[in-house]
Amino acid sequence: MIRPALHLKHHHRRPGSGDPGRRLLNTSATVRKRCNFVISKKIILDCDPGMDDSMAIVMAAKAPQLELLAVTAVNGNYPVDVTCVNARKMLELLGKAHIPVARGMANPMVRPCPSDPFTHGADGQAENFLPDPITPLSPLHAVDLIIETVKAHPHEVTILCTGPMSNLAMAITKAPEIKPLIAEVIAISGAFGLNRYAFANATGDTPQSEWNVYVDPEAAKIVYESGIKLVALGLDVATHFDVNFSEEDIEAFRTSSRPEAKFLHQAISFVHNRGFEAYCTIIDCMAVGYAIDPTLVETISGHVGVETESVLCRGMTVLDGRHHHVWTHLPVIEIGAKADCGRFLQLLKELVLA
Amino acid sequence: MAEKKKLILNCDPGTDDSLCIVMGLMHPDIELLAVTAESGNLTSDKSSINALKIMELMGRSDVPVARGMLHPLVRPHPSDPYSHGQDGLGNHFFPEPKLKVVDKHAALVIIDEVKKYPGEVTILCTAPLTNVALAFMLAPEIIPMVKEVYHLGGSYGVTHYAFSNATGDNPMSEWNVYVDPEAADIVYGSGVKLTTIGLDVAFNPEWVNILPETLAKLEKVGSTSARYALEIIDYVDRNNSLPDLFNNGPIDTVSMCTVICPEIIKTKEINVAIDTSDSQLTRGMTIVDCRNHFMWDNLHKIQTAYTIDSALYNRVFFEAITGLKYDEV
Repeated sequence: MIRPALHLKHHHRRPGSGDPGRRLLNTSATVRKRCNFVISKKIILDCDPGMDDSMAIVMAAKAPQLELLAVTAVNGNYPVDVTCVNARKMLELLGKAHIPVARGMANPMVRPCPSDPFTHGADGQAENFLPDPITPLSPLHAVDLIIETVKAHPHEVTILCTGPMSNLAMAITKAPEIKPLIAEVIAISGAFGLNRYAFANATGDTPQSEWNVYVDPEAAKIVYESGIKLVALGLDVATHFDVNFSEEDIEAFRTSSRPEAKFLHQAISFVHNRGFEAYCTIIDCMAVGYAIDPTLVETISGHVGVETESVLCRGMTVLDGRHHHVWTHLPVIEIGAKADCGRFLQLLKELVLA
Repeated sequence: MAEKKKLILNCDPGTDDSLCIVMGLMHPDIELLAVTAESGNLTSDKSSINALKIMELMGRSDVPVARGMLHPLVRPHPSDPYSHGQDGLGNHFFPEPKLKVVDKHAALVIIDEVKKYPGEVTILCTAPLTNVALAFMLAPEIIPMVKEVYHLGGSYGVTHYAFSNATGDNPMSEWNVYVDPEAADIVYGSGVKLTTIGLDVAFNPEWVNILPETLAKLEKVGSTSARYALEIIDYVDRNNSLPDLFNNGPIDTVSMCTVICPEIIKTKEINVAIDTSDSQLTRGMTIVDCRNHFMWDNLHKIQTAYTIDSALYNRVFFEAITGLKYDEV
């Protein structure tokens, strides 16, 4: 138990629960060796690259356990015109230009967009200055690409949200019939106060909020309350100082022949030069890691409300952990409580260097 | 002998508040200047009568009781989901008191007492801060004349009991701040020397309990105040939110013990804001900014308790209830 006093149900992720095919998807190396094939989990990566989103693209595009159907770009760390360019730069760097990239929401659903106090550099990619993409954008808006992709593969698509949830919230508002057709949403989202990292590293521009929820709290509220199975990996697990690279790791990225490894090396140098720790370069990668191997993160379930009214608490994800008078009308979601940082880093390094 | 500590107790009795009155009357180091009744657990018309009942129980008519605001500064008064009994005093049903409240509003009593003893008066608030905020607004010149303010209030996330035992009517707030967040914002931001004891410490069943040894000593003493304390402790124990846990500490008494013996707790400085919005989720939350970077530097800087010496709390509690030395009983 993480916090016994909370009386929250504690779930050890069980591979294969629900869908029989998922037993194979929760692959460890041993499972893969026993099989002649790998059934991939179909995913849409909804993101706002952003250096850490860029690394999430690397993991999602390279992981044999995942089939990346589409990348949908949203306003967040940078305006959507930058993020949809950066997503294509990344896929071209990886030789995966066939994966469609769609341009999404240019603004939060009802608010002006705040500016991010944390810089991802002049290009939004830690000043890697990758070549301009030559691949065209998808003719579809990101919201429509999400709707069509989910409808084309009912019950099979997992949506990873590593940016504000504007695209997904719009998609399920425009086409609510897709809600029961989405297998799962795994999001880098929120800060739940489960440990000191949750608020010490708060990334939104209020003391206890996380950036993605802070930017578009109404969108987060719509997704949290949608009834879609949601796993929120918040700052409690995604900004752990233990999620950091050793000197050897950094040297391996520098000397690798893989361009994505060099990209990560530059990103680490970039944040180090600005006084931040290396975990900043891979925050969003935890969502991809969890999609590949849910045993990487232990989750708890809890009633959570998304704060949309208060100026001081805007974007706060309020976990009702009371012993008594618990508000059961708040939606129940799965919350990342404890990450196996060592195994996560190992997975990330293997994928980056592969 | 050291000079007595001059104290105004702003409270809303309430079971645990009523013990604070007893302690303020009994402890030899405390000179209780006045009890100012607040609207909190009960509205001040009822809480002031309860304060008078405790005065009569203790056979004291020398300490004035003043009635304060009937409702928070700008909001209606919410009803308390935690039961202090039908009479607010653990169903003791004391007779109607013959004593009367003084013919002066609680806020004016606070102002006059502080002006009478500039630099000497400690204000302990075991209730919402409506009366204190009103006094500070009416007579801001008293703010630097107050020696210090202790507030049993807020939830600061120092321990998880801050939120698992949240007493306000939402997941993140403590009752005394929840009831009148605007008043808390005024006092916390006033610049007065302020120490808060939040649910983190005061409603922490691992730290705040009246131990069997202390209960036995109270039984042995058997005085009016000792018997009353035992009855309230029993009431708290039977009505606490965690029936499976030993958890009988009357919350407010932690702050009275701290006034008597500040070494009981350890404090640290925090940056805090009060959520005075109408947000259902976070109204009355005491928001601590502990960010590594981009921290807001314009929030209230106050001291808050992060730990307590449980054994010392028991000693001071016993000595304040009985007026006797712990080791001599």
